[in-house]
Amino acid sequence: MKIKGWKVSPSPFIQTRPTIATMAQLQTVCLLPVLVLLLIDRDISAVVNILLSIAGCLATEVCMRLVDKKVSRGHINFVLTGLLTGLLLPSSYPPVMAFGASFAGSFFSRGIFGGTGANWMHPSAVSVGIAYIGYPAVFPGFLVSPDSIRTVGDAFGALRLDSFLLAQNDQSVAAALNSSFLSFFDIRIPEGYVTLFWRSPSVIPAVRYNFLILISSIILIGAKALDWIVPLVSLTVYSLLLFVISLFPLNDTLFSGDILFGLLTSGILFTVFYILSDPSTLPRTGTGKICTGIIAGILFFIMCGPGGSSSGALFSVLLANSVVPVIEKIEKKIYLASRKAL
Amino acid sequence: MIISTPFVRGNERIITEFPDALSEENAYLPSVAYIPLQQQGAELKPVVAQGDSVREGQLIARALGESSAHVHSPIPGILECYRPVPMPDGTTSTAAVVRLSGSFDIIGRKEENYPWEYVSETEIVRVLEDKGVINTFSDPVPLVPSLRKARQTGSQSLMLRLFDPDPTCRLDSLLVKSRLPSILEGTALIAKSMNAGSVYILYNTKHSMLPATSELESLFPGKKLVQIKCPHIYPSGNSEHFKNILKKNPEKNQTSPVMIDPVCAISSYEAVVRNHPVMYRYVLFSGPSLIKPAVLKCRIGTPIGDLIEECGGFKTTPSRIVINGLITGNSVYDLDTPITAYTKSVHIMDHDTCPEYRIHDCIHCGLCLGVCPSHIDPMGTVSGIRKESFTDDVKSAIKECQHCGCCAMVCPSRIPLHHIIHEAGTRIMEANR
Repeated sequence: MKIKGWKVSPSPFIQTRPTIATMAQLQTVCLLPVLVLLLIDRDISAVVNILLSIAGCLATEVCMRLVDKKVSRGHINFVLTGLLTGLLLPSSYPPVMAFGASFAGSFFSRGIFGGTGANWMHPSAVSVGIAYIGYPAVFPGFLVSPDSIRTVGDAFGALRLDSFLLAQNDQSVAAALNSSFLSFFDIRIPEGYVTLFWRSPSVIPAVRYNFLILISSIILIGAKALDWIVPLVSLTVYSLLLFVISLFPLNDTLFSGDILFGLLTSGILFTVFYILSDPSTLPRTGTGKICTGIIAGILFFIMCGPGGSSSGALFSVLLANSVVPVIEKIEKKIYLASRKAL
Repeated sequence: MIISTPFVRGNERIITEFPDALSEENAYLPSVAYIPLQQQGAELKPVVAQGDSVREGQLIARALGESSAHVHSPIPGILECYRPVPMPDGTTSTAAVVRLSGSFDIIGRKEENYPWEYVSETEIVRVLEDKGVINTFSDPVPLVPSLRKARQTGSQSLMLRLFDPDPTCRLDSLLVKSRLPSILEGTALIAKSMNAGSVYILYNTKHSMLPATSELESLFPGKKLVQIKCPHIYPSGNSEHFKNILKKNPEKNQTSPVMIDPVCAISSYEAVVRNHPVMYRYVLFSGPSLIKPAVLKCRIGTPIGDLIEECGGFKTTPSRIVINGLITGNSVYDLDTPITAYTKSVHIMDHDTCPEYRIHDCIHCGLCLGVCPSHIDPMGTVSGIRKESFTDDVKSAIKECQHCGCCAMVCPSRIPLHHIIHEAGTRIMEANR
């Protein structure tokens, strides 16, 4: 049957969700304070990498316009993709290669996967994957060695052993938190966690400012600009695994993993909120999203272990993205079966 | 007053703001009325020639079949001409242009009180037909054919909905508050005219308050009266909802019920008890761009521009004028658009509240899937329609779609999913004919 001449009205005149353009704008604005902090910290090479990554995505946009006429009309998704790519690259990564990786990753995603809504893997994750293959030496390894953990007994202790510099106000802020807010819950945080929260020691900018990432994520979830199911499930699964079995292979102890250390030193907060939560790369039903979250949480644990690996989280996302088509196939069958049963 | 209406599925809410108190006033009579001759989808036959004078309530166009209802002049005057006018549903129709002059036959006269309880069902049906009563439960249709069909097929149910299916168009709820006795009496006479065995009254606690059961039983003698409390959710009160209710209340010889709304009940009451043809409508004027929101009793054919002026005019530059609710309504672009028999509300939007309409590619978020009350996959169905791949799943989804717009309301890409599905359904039906 050939159908021509659709008659479509602009109703409804009320919306309960922001547009994709607004979502991209909000996410970009929420990441701007990170750029400001990078400038304050005088990490100019990181800022240059970010700008060149954005330029790489812009170049893809121009190429797609010339080649395929596939244009993301008006919204600034390419800026966000470039920004995320730049933030995930180590500060010492060669700028020209940053541009190339960003261009190649976004071009591959747009050209092969199909771009907005059709991406199998997150374009920034693909770009960083290409960057890693191009120059793996600059990507940092684990912050702490297994031997150090075995010696000290916990991951954070091992980090402090390896000349970890505390922030200037770490002691006073930790003392203030312990005596006020945390005293109600009978919890005490030792010195050093405030530093990890405020400025974690990593060459990758995305891993550094955990406090900003957490606050911006809460704002984005509140504004309905971010999906919360997958981040919440994956963080919960990773935290549980980390707490229960992370130290078992090293010193045969259970239920003694350091969740905060794992979350604050692996870039997992940034990865789950800004990369993993991209709806293009996720299943569409709640059950499918929960399954993906569980798989991602397990992969985080496999790749990052007790914490301290800045790039493991990103490769976990790429692996999690690769199983999503299978989950989607199953969820479609389940959804159709449940519809017929109604 | 902020009204928050949750969706049937998904954790979404429709938030609408209305003034706490709304005045109900008679609108000024229009100096010129544009009375559309195509208010229910079918053309009518004009019976008054250009230049003739018409009396208030005089028949000016006769129905040409079961798909149209007679149209009467809402004001006395001279019929100047017939000319095309923009309609609230976005179409264009021929309208009789009547310039106000002469004396009034209905306004200012003593109200009649016809004892309908003592007349036959056929007589009530005849009066309803003569007065041009239409049913505005969903798409406007003449009331009488459905009553006749109900009598022929033995359908024994009448359903009255006492709340708005679109929570952003609050007229039905407001009428229930101010004119419940007329609504119930109008329903009672419709029930009598179709010889209904059972009368279902659907109300929701947030907006409607029913009289005592004994009072209701005296109004509907010999009829099974079922009061159904509906939750304050969206979508609720549409024909799909009513069919589900009937499934839960199986009765012998049950076919599709006659479903009416407060506007139709009031029209029937006015037609039979007061002997007034359909000449006016209560219309809710609201929106952030309007100075004084109000419910106006307007003559049919009054240009909405005149009525907006009566509400104080525009507070800010309007971005859209939406007729009959923000979810299911239509946007009009001409202030000369007349009030019709199916106009319930006029909402003036400002630039802050008007959503962005640029359509983007689907981002695969699955929100439409999570909120659909019919459990269909709206985006999957639209993809099928776009590819012209009408599989069994796509066809059944098109059939089951309630056209409620939940999917389009949550869509971050602003794809008008429900319209595409509805249009495809219409085209398939046309192709099958």
